[in-house]
Amino acid sequence: MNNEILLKIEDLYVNFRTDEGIAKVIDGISLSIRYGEVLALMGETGCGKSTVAKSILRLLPKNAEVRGKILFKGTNLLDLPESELRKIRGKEIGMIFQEPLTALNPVFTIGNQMSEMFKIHKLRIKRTIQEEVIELLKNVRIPDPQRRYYSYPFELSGGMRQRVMIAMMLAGRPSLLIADEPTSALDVTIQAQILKLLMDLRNKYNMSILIITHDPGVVAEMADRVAIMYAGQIAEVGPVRDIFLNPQHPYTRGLLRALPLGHKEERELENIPGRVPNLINPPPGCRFHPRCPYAMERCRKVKPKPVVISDEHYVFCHLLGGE
Amino acid sequence: MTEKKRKAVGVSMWKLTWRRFRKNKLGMAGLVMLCIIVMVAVLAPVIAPYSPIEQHLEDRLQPPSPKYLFGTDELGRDIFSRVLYGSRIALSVGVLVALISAAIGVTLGLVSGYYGGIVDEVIMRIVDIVWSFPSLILALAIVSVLGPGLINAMIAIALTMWASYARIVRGETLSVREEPYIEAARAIGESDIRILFSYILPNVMSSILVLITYNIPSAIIIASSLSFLGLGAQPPTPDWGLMLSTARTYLTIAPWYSIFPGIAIMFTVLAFNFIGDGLRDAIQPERVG
Repeated sequence: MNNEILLKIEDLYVNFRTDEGIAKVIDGISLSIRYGEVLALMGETGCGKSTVAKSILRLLPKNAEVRGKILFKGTNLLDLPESELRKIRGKEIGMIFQEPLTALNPVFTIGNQMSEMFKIHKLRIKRTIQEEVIELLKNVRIPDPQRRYYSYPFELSGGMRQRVMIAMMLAGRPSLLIADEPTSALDVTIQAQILKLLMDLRNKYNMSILIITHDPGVVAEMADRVAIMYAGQIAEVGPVRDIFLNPQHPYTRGLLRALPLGHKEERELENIPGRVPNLINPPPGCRFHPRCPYAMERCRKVKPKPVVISDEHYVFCHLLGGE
Repeated sequence: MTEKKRKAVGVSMWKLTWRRFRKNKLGMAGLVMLCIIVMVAVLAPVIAPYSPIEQHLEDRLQPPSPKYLFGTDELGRDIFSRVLYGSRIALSVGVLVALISAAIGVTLGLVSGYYGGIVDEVIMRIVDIVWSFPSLILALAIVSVLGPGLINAMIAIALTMWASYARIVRGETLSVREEPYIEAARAIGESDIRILFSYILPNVMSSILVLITYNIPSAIIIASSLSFLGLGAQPPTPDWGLMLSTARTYLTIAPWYSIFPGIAIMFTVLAFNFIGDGLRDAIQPERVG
């Protein structure tokens, strides 16, 4: 792993125009991913983690307004014309989705859909496209790939379909793979296999992975660093070990205390009082303050700036100082 | 990979549809009827004992007999031969009109549903306008502008029929557009045009197909009506509607003259309607995917 930055998100704001008003879904977040790094974006449903993922490839619906910068290898993706962006989608940046069951087109065979990747991006091939596709299917350990080439999506199980999606993304040898809850729809055993597969492929192709999840288990298994998101803001970001063993932000602490650990001690699970805020009228300052037991006057007014805990561990909280 | 192996694995949606369709008795009856009509249309010159426009003035308005199976008309033309040749006109009118209106309507429906906004608004209001007229009346108005004739009648009918395709395809596009595989297609860098025609179109194809089989008979009936009113096919074309129109005058003295073209129209329309019903039942119950 080298230390160069592959993708840098700077001050990203995303608003959605809705009938009830403007939902301020992402409130100025900054993140970066290095070459070969696995970064996890963790948070509860509705905190905007998928929105971040989709804004990278500009897949958000038309009612979304995106501000900020998303620099990929130095180019701002948000400024690129659609035609240039299409060359990056799928080739430079791959994306797999939460719903492997429906992310494949039901009316075409697997082989047909996978070949499409080679055609869209005019990828250089050594053999016939069919042989390349079968090779990719082998890479993701799909049994009997020759046969599966001719299968329709509904003939495959969920785990198998997710493998196909992953194989498809590998065609362009992307430097970044965005995995939006790649295992949430799968059985636990299949989950583990898919995660292992992703890690193996990361090592083999030296891809960076941005994994979006609400599952701390997935984070612990895969990620080098993790960013904890709450209501469109980043609460805390740092190496996985630091965050899990030494959480600083009250939200991170609450989140980890709400987690069943599965060993002997029969500890009562805690929950974080209150509800996720309405994003049309979000609380000012730190968006966590209405639920935070330590909230101060400052938290209600000023959006916290990052506080350095250690090398790469930052917390966005007034409690820990700052000016 | 051999074709044989391919069959063993891939059971496409169309194959499943065909399997269900085969169990539908009326649908299969419709298919057999259609096969008969198509064969008649193709083999008309072989089967027909006379030319459809050949006049036998000494045998005018003869009742059915071994010499003239369905009798003769006011100019002594063999009605049997004319009915046989009429199938060519009916089929081509039905199929062409349905295809032209589908081409117009499907394209507009896809664009309307996929892009939404002002484009959608404009297209759908035009659809509303077209739909607010009964199709026969609208077709009559268009033909009276274009002038009578079979080609103009077909254009007029197509211009009244595209709207139902546009509306149905738009509705389906709205729902298919939200499917994750459309987002996935965008994520791998597919262009809008490819997404419309290779991702959305195949997924709405089944509805279009059902609509086409329903629209063919309607087109045949409207075309016959226009011919009946003198605005469609012109004499001496052996068109069923046109034959009915002349036969009307002789209804009391030569009832066979109107009965046989009438039966031909009914047979053809029924065939398509049976197929349409069968197809709808075979496609709708549970969608594979």
